[in-house]
Amino acid sequence: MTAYLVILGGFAGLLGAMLVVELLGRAGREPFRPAARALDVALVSRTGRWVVCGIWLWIGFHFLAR
Amino acid sequence: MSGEQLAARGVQVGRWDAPLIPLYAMLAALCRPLTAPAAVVVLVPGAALLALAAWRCVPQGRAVCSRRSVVPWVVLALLFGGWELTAAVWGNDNAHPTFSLLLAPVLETYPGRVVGWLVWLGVGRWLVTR
Repeated sequence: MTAYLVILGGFAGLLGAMLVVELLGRAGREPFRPAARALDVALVSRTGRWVVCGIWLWIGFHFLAR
Repeated sequence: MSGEQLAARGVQVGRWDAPLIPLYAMLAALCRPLTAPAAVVVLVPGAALLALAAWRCVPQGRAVCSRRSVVPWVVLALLFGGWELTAAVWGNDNAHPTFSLLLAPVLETYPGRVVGWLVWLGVGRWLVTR
């Protein structure tokens, strides 16, 4: 198995796991929550909002500007 | 300004940005990556959002989920970051691509960049109005 397939499989597996957690959260299965609700824990404070928005800005810069 | 007034202001923000976001996405996607204009068109909404995030008061009494329910997302985010770092250290080339390298063929096309911009701006709008 090539390194490319291993890496691709890793990313696919992690994205799949995120999708599973999201679906479990939307279905109300404990202790899972949808990503939006989980983000609320960070967004409830001003510092958390700064951190989350800073990460959002970095993602935009990394994928759209670089 | 009360929490209800701030929430109402958030709704008002949502009324004018409906046509603005797709228009900005289509214009910004014209900028090729790795150019100064591309950096500028990212930093403009980014700076605006950071300013809004700093200015807005958090609505009081909003119910948030328990920290226990955040753990799966934190674990997955750390694993994703770790896997990205692994790919970067392993080679960061076509044989050992990072996530950004995997997305590069999509983002090199104008439609792909427009979609990327729409997703990014949409998430930003959601963060501000949350």
